[in-house]
Amino acid sequence: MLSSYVPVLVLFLLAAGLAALILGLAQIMGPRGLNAGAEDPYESGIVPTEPARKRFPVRFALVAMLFLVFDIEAVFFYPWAVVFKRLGVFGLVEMFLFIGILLVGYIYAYKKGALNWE
Amino acid sequence: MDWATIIFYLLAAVAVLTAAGVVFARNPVHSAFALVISFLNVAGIYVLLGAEFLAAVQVIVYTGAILVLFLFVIMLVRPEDLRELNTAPRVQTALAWLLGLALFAELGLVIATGVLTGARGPYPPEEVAAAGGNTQLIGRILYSEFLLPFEVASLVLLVAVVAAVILGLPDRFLTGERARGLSLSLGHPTGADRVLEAERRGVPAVDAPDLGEPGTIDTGRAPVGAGRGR
Amino acid sequence: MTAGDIVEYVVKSAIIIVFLLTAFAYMTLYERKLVGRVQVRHGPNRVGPGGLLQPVADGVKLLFKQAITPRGVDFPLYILAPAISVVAALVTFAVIPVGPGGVNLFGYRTDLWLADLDVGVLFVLAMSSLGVYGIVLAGYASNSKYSLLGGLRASAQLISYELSLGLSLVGVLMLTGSLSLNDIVNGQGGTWLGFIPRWYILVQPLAFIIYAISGVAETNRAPFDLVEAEQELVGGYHTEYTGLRFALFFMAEYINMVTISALAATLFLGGWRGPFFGGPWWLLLKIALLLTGYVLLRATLPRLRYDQLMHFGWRVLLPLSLLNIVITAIGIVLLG
Repeated sequence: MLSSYVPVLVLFLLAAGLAALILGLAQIMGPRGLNAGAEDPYESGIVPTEPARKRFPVRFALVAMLFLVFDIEAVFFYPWAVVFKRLGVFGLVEMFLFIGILLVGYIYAYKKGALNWE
Repeated sequence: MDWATIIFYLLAAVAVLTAAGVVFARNPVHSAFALVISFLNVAGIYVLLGAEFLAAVQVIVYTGAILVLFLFVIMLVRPEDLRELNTAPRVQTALAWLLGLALFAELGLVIATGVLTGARGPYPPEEVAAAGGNTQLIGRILYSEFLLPFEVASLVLLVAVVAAVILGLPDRFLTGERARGLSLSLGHPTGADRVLEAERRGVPAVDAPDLGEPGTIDTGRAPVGAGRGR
Repeated sequence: MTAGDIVEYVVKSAIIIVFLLTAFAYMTLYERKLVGRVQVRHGPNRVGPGGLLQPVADGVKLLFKQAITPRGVDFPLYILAPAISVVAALVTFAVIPVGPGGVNLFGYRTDLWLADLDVGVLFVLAMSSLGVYGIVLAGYASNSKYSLLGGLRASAQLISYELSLGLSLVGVLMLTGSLSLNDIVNGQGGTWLGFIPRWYILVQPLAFIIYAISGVAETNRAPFDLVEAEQELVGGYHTEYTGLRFALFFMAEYINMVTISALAATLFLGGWRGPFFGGPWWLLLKIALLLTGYVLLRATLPRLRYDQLMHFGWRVLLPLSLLNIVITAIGIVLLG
């Protein structure tokens, strides 16, 4: 059980080592010294005037919140799916109820225009 | 010490250290990132305990969903507002210290006296293996014994959808054309107030220039072609 | 667990990494060649016979490029972001079975997979939700407007399509009754009527379509590649990365394509199983076919608009994937 995670750990360590190696190579191999302006953030040749980290549309947060809800819903699906054949009709009914309630939320979000990306 | 114990201490140490980092980091994005690492280590501990499903859910829901949300909200905050967020009332700071120390004392007492001991639960590893695995057993129990909590969970999620829509749609505060260009700061404590205040006085709300399409970055009022070359 | 086991894991992990890196390198060439053919050009054909050494030349060129760190970046996060992307992409492959268990290789008995996790499918989803961080953090840390907006768009797109991707797998899980990818492949053994392979694509066609579309969106590929829409966002979240640091993002994208294809093959197309001979070659063939599909999509379809993309994910794919679950559930109950 637990031992089946050891190879994953091994692969993770090797992959992390590879990433570190490549980043290190990038540091060592490249030329040094900068042209004037090379350090500037890229803005299609125009000298940047304002800091980049300004605010942006709240829509992105809305997408993240909706994602969170439906992601948790999805998590409930997995244990249900693997025992579905055992549960049979009973499982069908309880999941219909679950999906039904969430569908109300989905329709609400839809009607309010939350899924409407202008 | 066997390997599992060593790995446990490693995971626990990193989890605790990064959790401290969440509190002490000056930059909220660094805090959020430290929290990701802390959660990942907790997931590792779940794996050590044989709770594989819980570990996977910990990563998918906490480090995946919640922290993406968290990062997005943080990015809505203007950097210059952050100092403001860091100044809590003195009473609050004192209370936080008091409660924190009390909690530490309690935990220390519990550990020192050994009052709490682990008992074998109704589902030992053999039972889990017989059910075909962690997820299968959770499914079997959740969808029979704990049917009611499960259905209630869907109601809780429904409330979350409604809340998200109400919070996330700026049309709640502004209507018409001006709403389109506004990037309302959710994370900012006075963001909503300022909008409502501007609404009351009948002046354009905060610094929301007419940018037209959302999905474009708020560039302020940079003069076009003003030629600020070097 | 013995020291021998650890050596075995290291060897297998190294094989996986080398395979994925080679696949990445030659996928770039294959893509350029094939897109060239579609557009009645030759594609790269100068370096080596038929352009075969082009990826090497590209790699060497990137190796000697300057690592420019723009002013005002959040350096720790800036440098971690590409590493997170590539590590998440590489580690996902750990759970994909490339052949049957218990084979004799060079007089050594081994299984043709690195890890057989009980929660394999969830492991894949967890890794892909971690991969989002590489993009969000790159966008945030770069201190550039293009990066920030590109990173945000990319992450909003990824999380939107991750939902339908995850939900499209539920049907397969219902048929198998397990989250282990090995069990899923074994569930697709045998044939109907003696010649039709029992692949899940035949009983879950809708799920496969949803998975394929979400998979393309998850890897930020055309027609969902507006994360790096050059005309409006320059390079997207990796605008401020140069040389090998940029190469890491590029690598992650291509490795993700290979992984998504390998998963599609495993979940819907019988994995390493196939008529006449089973094993890694069948899996490789299926991956190659799916990757060709990726390239042809890019060569033939125009890019979507961002609002179309979000609408499609939330209003079409998400309800469809729920519908698929409902249909599958009813089907299983009715047919036993």
